[in-house]
Amino acid sequence: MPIERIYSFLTYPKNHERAADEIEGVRIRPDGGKLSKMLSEVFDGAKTKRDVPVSFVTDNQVNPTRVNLLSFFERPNLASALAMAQALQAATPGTAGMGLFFVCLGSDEGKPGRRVVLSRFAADEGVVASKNGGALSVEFVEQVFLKNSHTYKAATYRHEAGRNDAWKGIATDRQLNHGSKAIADYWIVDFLRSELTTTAAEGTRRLAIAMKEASRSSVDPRIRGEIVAAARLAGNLPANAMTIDQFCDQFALSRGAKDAVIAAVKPARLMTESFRFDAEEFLRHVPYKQIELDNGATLSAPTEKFEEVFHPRKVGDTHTYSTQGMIVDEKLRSSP
Amino acid sequence: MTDDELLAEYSGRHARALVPMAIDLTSLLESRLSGIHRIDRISARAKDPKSFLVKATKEQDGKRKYIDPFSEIQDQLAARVTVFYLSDVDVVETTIKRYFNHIESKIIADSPKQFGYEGRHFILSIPEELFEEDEHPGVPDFFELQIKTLFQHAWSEAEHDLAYKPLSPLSDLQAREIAFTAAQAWGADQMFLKLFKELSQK
Repeated sequence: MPIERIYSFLTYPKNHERAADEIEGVRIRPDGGKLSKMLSEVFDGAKTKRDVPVSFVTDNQVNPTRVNLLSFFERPNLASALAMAQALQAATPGTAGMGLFFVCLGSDEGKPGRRVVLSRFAADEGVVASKNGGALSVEFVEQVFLKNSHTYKAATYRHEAGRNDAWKGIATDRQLNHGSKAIADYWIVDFLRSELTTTAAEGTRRLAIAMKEASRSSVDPRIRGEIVAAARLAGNLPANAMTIDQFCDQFALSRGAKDAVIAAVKPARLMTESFRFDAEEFLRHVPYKQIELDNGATLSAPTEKFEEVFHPRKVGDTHTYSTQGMIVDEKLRSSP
Repeated sequence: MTDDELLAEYSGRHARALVPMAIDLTSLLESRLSGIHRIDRISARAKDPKSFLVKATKEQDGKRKYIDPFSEIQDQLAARVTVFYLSDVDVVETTIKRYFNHIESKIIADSPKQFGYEGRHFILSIPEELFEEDEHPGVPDFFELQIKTLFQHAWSEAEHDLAYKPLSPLSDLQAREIAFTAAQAWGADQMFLKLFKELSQK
């Protein structure tokens, strides 16, 4: 179904000299023109890998951004949309620059309630050249928007009148090439006052346990080796938003290794659920790497330090490990 | 929706989704809190259909308190973590907030001049792991979690039994006697915390 209402606002970063001015806004009638068509593509856009499920958070069941959103759902007009534009401006850092903010309201066929899509297109710089009579005019402009309609930030929420819903939504950042933390810090945390639906600890725990389970269940030593190598390097990953699927691709896991990880994620749809990586949490669940040799030896050390502690060397098909240190404990055990 | 329809609808959800989810939620909480010492018990339950109906049909200022009880009543699924000492409550809270998003976090205590109910309450998002599908109509988004000491839990259970459903209103003396038991429980928690700290330092 086409968008029913569109409101647009020019917003500045919070520290900009014009941030104190009243925000200019306008209602745009959906008319099938190029702008309406572009916004319809944003509104109806299919789910992509850059979509991140987000949840409003609060200590007292009142989240100011959600309050503004519900006010808009109840009375969709320029004033209720303006409240969201003001919140965006108050959250926009200087690095994000000017933006054109759209609030679109519509509904989806066969689904109850209505849907709002908030989107922000960043301003860019450009040169306008025009011919005025016989003279060429060339002008530098700072407020060029939508040069590429595929780069924007957005957030989508659904609401049914009378229901205590719209706590969760989907955020998108199509300005990013990779899962940078920028989306979490500015668009999600500061403007939407939300967190990723899966917390850093929960998502990282899920990944670590899937890796552990995949290495335990796989009978192919090459697959086990791939998974253990990825786990050892994971401790150095930054705290960026990612999915387990992206993690597997980032470490170039083979099809077999990835399938072993997929089999260990339950339900499997959570392979593509975003969370922010937490190295400390990861190492809490895979603290030790252990290697068994065919001569009966078992070597074990903290995952992230294993190579440093044992100095591995490969000679033909065999492996040599060497280590040196003071003995601090010695045990007889019934199992390795 | 009539009250009978409300009860029938909730009873269906209760049997179909909430009871199995309560079992899964108990396991999930146990795994997230594993390794934390002095947890006495972790449990979760689905709200009983009759209790749901009583709450859903409550009135406030002459009108029904809940317009849409299915989305507004947030303890359809509720869990409790009972710990030994007051300091353990903080440890559990910190861990819970790492694994779950919350929309409410509060310490419930009666006024400084009065002894009564105490506990830490949260409304937390139900983790995605418990939902097979992205969309899950008929299942709430949130559950209630209480973290209490053994004494807070024991007091609130007995007090709930005695004072929430009395055959007749409590007399002034009975009210004072209940406040006295709350004070005793509060004092026991304070003493155990003090002893625990002192003995842990040795």
